[in-house]
Amino acid sequence: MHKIFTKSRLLVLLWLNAFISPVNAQMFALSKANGTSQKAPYEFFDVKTNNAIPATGFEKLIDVVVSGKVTSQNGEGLAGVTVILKGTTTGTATGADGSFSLSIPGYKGTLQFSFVGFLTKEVPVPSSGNIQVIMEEDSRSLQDVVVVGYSTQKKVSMTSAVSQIKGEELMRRPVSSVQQALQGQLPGVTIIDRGGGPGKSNAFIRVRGITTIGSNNNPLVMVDGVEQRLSDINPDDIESISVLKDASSTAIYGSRAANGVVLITTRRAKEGSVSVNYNGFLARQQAINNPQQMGTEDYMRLQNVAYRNVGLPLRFTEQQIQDYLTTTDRLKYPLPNTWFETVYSPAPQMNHSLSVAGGSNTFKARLSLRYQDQDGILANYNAKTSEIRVNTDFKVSPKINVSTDVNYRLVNGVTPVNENIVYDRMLHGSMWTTPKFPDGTYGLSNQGHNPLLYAEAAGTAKTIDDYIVGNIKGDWEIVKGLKFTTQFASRINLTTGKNFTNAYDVRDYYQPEIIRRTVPLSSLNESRNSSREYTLNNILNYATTFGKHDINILGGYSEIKNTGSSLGAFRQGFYSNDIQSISQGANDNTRNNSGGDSTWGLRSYFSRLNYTFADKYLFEANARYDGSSRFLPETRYSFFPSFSAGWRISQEDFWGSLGDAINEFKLRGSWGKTGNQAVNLYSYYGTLNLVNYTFSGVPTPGYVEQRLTNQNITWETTIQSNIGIDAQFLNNRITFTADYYNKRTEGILLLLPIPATIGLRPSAQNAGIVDNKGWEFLLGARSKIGALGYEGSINFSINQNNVANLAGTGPYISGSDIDPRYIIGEGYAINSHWGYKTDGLFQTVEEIQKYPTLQAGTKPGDVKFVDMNKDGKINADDMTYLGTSFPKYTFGSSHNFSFNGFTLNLLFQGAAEVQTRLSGALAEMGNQEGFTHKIYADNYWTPERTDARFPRPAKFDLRNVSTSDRMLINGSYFRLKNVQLLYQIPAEIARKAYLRRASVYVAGTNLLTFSKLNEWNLDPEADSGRAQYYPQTALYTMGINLQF
Amino acid sequence: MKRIKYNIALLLAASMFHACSKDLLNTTPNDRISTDLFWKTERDATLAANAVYTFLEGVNIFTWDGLSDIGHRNTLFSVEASIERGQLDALNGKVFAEWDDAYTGIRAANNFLANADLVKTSNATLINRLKGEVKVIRAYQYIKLASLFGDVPLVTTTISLEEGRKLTRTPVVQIWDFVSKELTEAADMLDKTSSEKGRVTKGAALALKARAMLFAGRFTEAAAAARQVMDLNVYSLYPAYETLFSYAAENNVEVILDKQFIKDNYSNNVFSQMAPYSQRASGSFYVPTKKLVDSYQMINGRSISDPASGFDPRNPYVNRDPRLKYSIFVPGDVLPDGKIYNTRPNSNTADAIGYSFITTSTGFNVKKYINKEDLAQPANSGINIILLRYAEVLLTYAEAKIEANQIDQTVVNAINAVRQRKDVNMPALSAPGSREAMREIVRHERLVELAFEGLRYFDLRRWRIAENVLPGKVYGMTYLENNNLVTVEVQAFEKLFNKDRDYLWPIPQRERELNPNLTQNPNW
Repeated sequence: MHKIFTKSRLLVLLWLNAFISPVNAQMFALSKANGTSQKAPYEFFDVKTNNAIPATGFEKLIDVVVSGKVTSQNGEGLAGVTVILKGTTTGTATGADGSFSLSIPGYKGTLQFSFVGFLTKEVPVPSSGNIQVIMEEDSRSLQDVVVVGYSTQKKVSMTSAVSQIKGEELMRRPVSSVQQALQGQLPGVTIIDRGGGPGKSNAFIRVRGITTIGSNNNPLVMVDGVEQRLSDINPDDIESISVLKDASSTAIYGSRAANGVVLITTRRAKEGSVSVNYNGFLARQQAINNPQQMGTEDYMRLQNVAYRNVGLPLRFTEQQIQDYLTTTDRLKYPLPNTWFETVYSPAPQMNHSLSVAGGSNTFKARLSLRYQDQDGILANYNAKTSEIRVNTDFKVSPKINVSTDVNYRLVNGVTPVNENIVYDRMLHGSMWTTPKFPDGTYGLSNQGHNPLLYAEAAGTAKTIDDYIVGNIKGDWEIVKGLKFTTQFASRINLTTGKNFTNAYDVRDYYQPEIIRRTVPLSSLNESRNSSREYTLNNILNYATTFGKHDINILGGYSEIKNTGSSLGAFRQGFYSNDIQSISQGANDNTRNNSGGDSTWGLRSYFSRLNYTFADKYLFEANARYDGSSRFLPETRYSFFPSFSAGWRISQEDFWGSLGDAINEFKLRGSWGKTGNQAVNLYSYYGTLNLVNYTFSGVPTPGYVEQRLTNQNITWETTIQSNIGIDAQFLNNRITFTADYYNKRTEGILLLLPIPATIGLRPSAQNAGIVDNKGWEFLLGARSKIGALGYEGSINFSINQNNVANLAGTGPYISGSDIDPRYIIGEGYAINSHWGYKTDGLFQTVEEIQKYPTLQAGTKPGDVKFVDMNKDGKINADDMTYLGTSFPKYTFGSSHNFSFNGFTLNLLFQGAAEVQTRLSGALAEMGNQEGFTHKIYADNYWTPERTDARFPRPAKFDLRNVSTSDRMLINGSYFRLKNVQLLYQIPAEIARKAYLRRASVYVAGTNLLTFSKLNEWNLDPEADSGRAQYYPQTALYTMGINLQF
Repeated sequence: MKRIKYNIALLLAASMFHACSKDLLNTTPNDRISTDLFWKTERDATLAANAVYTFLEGVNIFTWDGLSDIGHRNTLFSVEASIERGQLDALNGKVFAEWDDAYTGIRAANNFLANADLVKTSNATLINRLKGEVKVIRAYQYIKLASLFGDVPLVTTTISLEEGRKLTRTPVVQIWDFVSKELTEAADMLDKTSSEKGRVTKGAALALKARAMLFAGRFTEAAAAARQVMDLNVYSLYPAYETLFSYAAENNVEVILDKQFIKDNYSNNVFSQMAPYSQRASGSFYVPTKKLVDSYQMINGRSISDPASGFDPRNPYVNRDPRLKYSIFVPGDVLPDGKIYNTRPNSNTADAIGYSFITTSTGFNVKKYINKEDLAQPANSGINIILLRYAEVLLTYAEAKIEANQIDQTVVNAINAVRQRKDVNMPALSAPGSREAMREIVRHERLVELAFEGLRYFDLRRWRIAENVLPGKVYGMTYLENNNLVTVEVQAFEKLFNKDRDYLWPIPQRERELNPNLTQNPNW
């Protein structure tokens, strides 16, 4: 019992409350106010034994003040250093000049000083009450540990290409998803962020280019050893992210590793006092890329030219033009296109994260909570995320550890029932429309559309997503060096969908008896999808050192089983649009339901051997043997080996004095095989599908085969070699990593078109070879000049993609004359742009007569398509390679400046050698009934303006819009992705609010972009095509971080 | 104590091992029918045959008149409008879709025919009948392919990917031979009637054969097949042309082959595609042209261009062949919603030419199959679409006999039967005329009787008159403005037809990329 006194001050106080009279407590308070140590005027006794307790235990109750200053090695005061009395909650942070003062109970114990970028320092509490502390910069390199497949490794002994980023670096910018946080941070990792609405991030990640055609190119994502999606992780819970890039690091994941592996570890509690962290931000999202419609008069006159050019009567009379320009009745004479102003409006977002962590030697726990509420920039758009994670660690015995983690997340989302039609109709077929009349009636375009109506009144799609991951893991150190680890994880995902389409009539505002648009019956599509997956990992690891030999052997067994089921129900004709329960719909023949089940499994055996001699010569081998239920037994199993080696040249004697400048230099190389099993389930089964027909008015079922069966289907294999160097300069202040890789993917699972005469849809075939070659560079630096601290990195990647072989088939050309046209063909990057080359505009009739044209009736001002094969005809045979749709170069750089409590973080990011193809209204310059960009104003060919950039307008004539180099825009860009300014509130102020640390920040995302697409008001990361997507937004954020 | 901890840990580990499942990798789908399970019972055969029916054409039949001289695709930037404009090429989506749809249907039929005998049953009659049904539907696909593309690969088995890449085009003559043989065989396998309405019968096989042989120019064969249908004594003309395409007349005595639909379960969208815009913003996909409206004779049997016909351009829709108003919405008609159809420009009705992008551009709309029952849910029609009816057989008989130069009273009788249907009752032809005169008569009768039933485009092609009747501006209604007659002209539109090229569609480009053995039609 009496042990409690020395262990916890809190319990003593509780004890005091129970046993000391109020008068005595007052006396105690007085002595405390004097600030002097004083012997207690009381005797204490153990309630159980009645023995007196020495008063030394009581001294702890009397606070003393310790003050001092923390400086770096070169003597400057360090602001914001956390000072904690070890093993307690008592702590503070240093002020701007590095000074601090802290009340502690008596001159006993140890003070712990910690600060990012410095080694944690522990100093006994000085009896004098005053202390000077010099902190050493964390040289990192030697201690840094990198998370790799099923294990961790010291960074210095790594022989493969792995990029790692720590959670705190990742979370420097406020983001709502991990993909966004990773963008621009790591070499070889291309993230294309296409915006996406709340809860529907449209950012995708490619590691070292695109390895396969059509099927899945996403890397494998493992969170604490369990396959998950990047979107499944609360960014605030991330301890570190490793991206495994070369085959030697990924081969241990075998059949799922061809596209790289992303390993995420979550934060766990550390031994010690309980710490509470709060991180919250408020943000405003705003559409920044709003294409701008041509001015009304310019547009009307353009239309007249376009009509006249094809021999049609003018679209507008002079009187009509004047009416539109001078009217005071914008209801009757609406502007041509106002959708970007009327449909989009700035939207708020908020995020709160709270974590509590701490524990003892035997039990530690970290609890984290997150709540995020994000509105969309259009009506009926919102996502709310609530999340909890509990990570616990038990030390059952000195040799046995058990950890259990649980993560539960609930996402409630709502969007307009068909959101894509909103974006589509903002640009297409909605000209000259009054968005909404004063009585709430929606205007309709000539074609019967109104995107505002579609967003506000067409209905809503609601989703509720429950996601639960439970994970239990045990370690048993059987004998020294031999450790058995077993892990069982279960992942459950339940998605409830409710898509309700409203019934409505849109009547003519001026003649209400005319119904101009009707959805006669409301309808509800309700869905329930569930997936359950368990993962089992058993790993035996043996590590030993003898002499200069370090050996580490790992062997493991793993299995994954996934079952899924879906259920859907449909009814229509609800009493009103507000009654949205499935049983309230018409109980007649229109009822419909559907469902399905799926199961797949993966069984794997894997092993790894690491051998290091004298910390200089490093060798590693990996192997995995994977069996997948997606293939027939004959082709089911495959073997994926890898080898790698490294040489730390800087450890050699001959390196000598070079070590002063280059203190670490390592050369490494690897080779290995990985696979891809991304084919549809049961694709080797010949199956028959249910179809409906009717005889005599009675519904009749029928069965028909719809897909060609391929029983020979098997793994896709990727062979990758990699060489790289890791170097550190000037006592680790500068780090440099470079890699070259050559990756070949064979037997690609291709969904190749097959002749229609077969009469079935194609299924995937193993055909074709794709190569990816590239370079990656990472340069990092840290420095401190006076009070100004700097930390930054620059990364740069080159990826060259090439389809080497299509097994004698192809090329495969997709797309159309007026949309992007892509080619998958030997000798070209996957999905290269394909189309006509052009040579300016025809200027004279003579010129046209001398040169072949695409269509009859070509006139001056039309595009001159190049006759590539010189056969005197312009046709599909003249189409040629026009550029790549995936960037060849990507780069990013992050810079972190700190000065007297202020921290400025800048993230730049960009891509080069990539082309974007505009299509639809953006490309048609008003020749159809779509949005017409202001860029065309006074810039189209007329006999008086022969040097115009754009061809002559020609109504309903798309001859000049055919896919050509004219409509390809250089998609290279460089942008200030994020800027954040953070202020660390001085410790003495924070302390008054009982805070250990506090900081406030403001941040902006997507503020500044240099790109050719700016003149089209398009985001450079936008996909080619008709710009029908939730746009990329700018984000203005205000936030606070508090530590209690 | 320590031992207990170890035991707990071991138990934990053991429980994890327990999770290992033996059948982890042997997964069997339970949400689809594996081909291994199928083809066991006669029910399987029926179910597979049922599926083949889904590949019959439905609302798509309107395309064919829409592309001809009597119709027009109202939405200007559709693929069909580009075909009208003569702007089609081997990349045209419609060209590929027709090819693809036909071969998808052929595959389903071939699959049935290849497997039907696997079924263990004593009911050979049933299997035989189902085979007959499937053969007829397969022939239907080949008739369309041969008419559109000429020589096409003749696929009669379930070919593999490798075989698909090596097919060559079979001369069209052999396609017609195949169609003829198949339909003859099928007729022998089928009953005269079926208890399930909508199933293919003997009459359907023979009637389709008559159509195919007429298309192929094998007139004797066509006439013989038509005669066989007439001699079945199963079919007769439905007395009311006016309601022939209504729900009440479904499965009537005139229907020989149709695509059956049922609201909610297997519905079509004929109303939302074809009805006038004022009817709940329906689509007016294809609209009749002035050419069609003018083709209907006066009630006295004279053409409106005949000065003695009594035609009054200021009152153009009175005293006309009743089939005009039975088939086409003309100004002044009552619409399904009870309002009056008014297409006059600037009349401020939803059907006024120019009111909307979708509103008819000619001032007319198709009336066949537009039933007021569908007004409530325009995209959920249960009306059966007739693919072949007895009137066509009679006209095929007449035309084939005329072309075969076997003009006799039976020819006149056949034409008169159609003309003198109870609620049509146009003046009868008195006696057989010259072959040329009779040809004109039967072609005229085909045009007005079968307008917008999917035949006109093919008729123009086989008569080789497309270059004469198709090219040029598209005209619509005539109306009075300031006491002057004004004829509507479709804006910004001209039909084109290249006689050296357009009588056959191009083989789709993608097919030729995937199978270089496929040659291209001339001048594409």
